[in-house]
Amino acid sequence: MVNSTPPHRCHRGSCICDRYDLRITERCLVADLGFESNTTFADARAHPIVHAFENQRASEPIGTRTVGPAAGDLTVYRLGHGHDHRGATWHDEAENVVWLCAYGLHRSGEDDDAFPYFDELIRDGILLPTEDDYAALFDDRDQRFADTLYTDAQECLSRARSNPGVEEIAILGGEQSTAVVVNVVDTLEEIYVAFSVAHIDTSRLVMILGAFDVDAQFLDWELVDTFPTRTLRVDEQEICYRILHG
Amino acid sequence: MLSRMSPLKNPIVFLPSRPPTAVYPDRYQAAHYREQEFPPTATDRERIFYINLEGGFFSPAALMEMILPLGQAVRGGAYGSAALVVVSSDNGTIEFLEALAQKHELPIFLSNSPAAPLSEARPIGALTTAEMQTYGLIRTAGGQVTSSRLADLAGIEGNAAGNRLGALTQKGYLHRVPRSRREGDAFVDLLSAAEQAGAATSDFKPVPAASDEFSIPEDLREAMREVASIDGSLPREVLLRAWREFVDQHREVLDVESKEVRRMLKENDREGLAAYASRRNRERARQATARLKR
Repeated sequence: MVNSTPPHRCHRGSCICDRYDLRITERCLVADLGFESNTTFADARAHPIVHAFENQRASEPIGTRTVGPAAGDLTVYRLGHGHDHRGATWHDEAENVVWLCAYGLHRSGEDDDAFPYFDELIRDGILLPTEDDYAALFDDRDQRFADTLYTDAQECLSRARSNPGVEEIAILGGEQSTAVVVNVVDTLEEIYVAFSVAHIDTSRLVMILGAFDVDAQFLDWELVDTFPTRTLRVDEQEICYRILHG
Repeated sequence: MLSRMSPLKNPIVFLPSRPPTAVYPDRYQAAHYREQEFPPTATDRERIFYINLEGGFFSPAALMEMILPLGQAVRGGAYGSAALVVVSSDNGTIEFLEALAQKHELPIFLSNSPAAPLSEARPIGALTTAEMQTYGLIRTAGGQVTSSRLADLAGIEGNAAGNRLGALTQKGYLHRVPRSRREGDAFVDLLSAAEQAGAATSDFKPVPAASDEFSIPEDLREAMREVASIDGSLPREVLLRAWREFVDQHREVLDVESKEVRRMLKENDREGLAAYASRRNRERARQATARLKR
């Protein structure tokens, strides 16, 4: 379940910020920070560098100094805390994640200094997230979506029913912006649900419509060309479904 | 007169490829496909990369991700001696590819049908009028010339012919075969050579789509392409329409899935819902990791 521990919500391996998630790669979590691989982000906050990661990267996904040379969208940035805690973070813009990729103590001139260690990880090609890291990210997001989808949809629908003809907007499952309008004519209730299909597949579509009406078959929903309060946003690949309740 | 025998030592390797019939809104998906199909390895064999885009609905970003790095690698010699042929009958796609090839100086040959002969694929990119004319003459002459032969055909000086052939070779449209001074170097149009050798075939084996991949049936693809060419729609609009049409045509299948999903919603089976949503996560993770290896 999503908890609301301030200052940011944590869910499984993620700290959820406005525009992206903060995550820790499994290699960093286990090898550098000494946690078990299934440690949640909330629990990992006990480590000073994770605390600093959240404080510094929650509002700004990149730092000012790089680890190694700048590498375009693969540039890795330094994270510092106190005198000697150092981290390496990477902003994964494609997946909307900032990863904490490595951690070490800054011991200038010594063999175990953090920065030569980071350079070594880059050279060996093991600094950035792995396939398992991404699979865990996607699984966590799906679980997050599943955890709150129904409640989010029903709350939005309830608001729309309280304000017929007015567009209500909700973020379903923490990720899917959705607009809802309810029109009532005599004893008929018409529900319009509009959302972008730019980044979803058909499983999300089925889940979203199901969450608005668990008794209606998929075939009961009609794909329509118009939304009652405005034109559909073609640029965002927005589509609209309508269902009629007698 | 240049012998009709090919000056190439080995048969040309013809590598046909066709992305699965599907909607490609995501450029990383296109990149993953390209990297899998065309890993940048040079060989001493001349190759033709033949990408049939028919059946795919690509966002501009995805199309660029599919073609641009490949064109740049062909021009830069990362694949050794190679020619890149792209097949599309969609006007919007063709115009986009022409602009892309022009801007980035990509040596691309464009064909409007997989049934069309290779020698009918037209070169696009940063070609001057003189170079276009020269290329046409080479095709007319059977796809291979020496500089003296071209000088005869074009009615120009030998040095000028050599310069034109050198420019076309440097830009990636011709393959140069070094030979003795007496014979003179041969300049070969790989497409003509492959066609004459019977290397090309349109018998494609498209990469099979994942069972749950968002795919678009062939008849719908045809309809969507017609719509796009008739009303001049933007690719994004076409993509959206394709999405809508697909969902509409698969309502019964989705209805079956919906029944199970609604059961899980009623029973508050969040683990089951997450498992349903995450069916393609391993593939998505593979794609995400692949783009880190660019």
